[in-house]
Amino acid sequence: MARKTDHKGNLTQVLLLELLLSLWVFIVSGTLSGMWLGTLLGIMVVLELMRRKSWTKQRIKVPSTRIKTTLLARILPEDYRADLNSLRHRWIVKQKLPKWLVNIRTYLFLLVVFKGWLQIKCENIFLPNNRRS
Amino acid sequence: MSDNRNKLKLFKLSSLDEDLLTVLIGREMYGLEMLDKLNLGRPIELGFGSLYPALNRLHKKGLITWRWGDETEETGGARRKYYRVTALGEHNLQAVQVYRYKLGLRPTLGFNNLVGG
Repeated sequence: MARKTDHKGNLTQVLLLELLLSLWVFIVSGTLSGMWLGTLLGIMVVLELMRRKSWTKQRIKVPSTRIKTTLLARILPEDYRADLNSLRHRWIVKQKLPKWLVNIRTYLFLLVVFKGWLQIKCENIFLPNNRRS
Repeated sequence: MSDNRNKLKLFKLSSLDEDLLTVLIGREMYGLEMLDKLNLGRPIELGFGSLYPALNRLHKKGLITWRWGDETEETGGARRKYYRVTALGEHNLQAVQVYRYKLGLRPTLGFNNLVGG
């Protein structure tokens, strides 16, 4: 909703700018052809803005590499999630693997990491507290 | 200084612990980075399921320490943990490496030497 309002605002600004340009050229040149020149300038501005908008869209369109917030992913510590997300980023962006394969690999990794997490919880019962050197 | 180093406690280290300490000496690394370095040419690949418990063990013994990194787009907003070796870790690794070196220099004892013949 907010974005729509922004776009409307932009369009109004562009139209106003176009009108001002055509008026300015008309006043300076004092001819009808000058007004047409102003309109042409306005159209060029609009086209430039549209081109920039499409370029921005292309840049923003990056495939999501975040892991789905499953129960396992929510339990795991932050650094484990960071590593898994980096792996997914590698599979999706660099290796360009299909999405279904990435998802299967992610779930397998989640299980493996969960096993490691459980092992840590058990080992910590017997391990000494951290000593700082 | 050398007296202080000699007083540092020695811990049992598995081969994976040694590998991790070796990789971490002189630099800071996060989990995936370590795994990439360790698995390069390794006969049996190491997984996260073994890496994290090993790191936890080393941390609990005080052989490594860690700090939080920054959130990045690649990690989906989660922070990485950057690990590095402590002085105690370096000392432990050095002790094992010296032992290995001396082990290689030991003369082979044949049957005759054992029975004194």
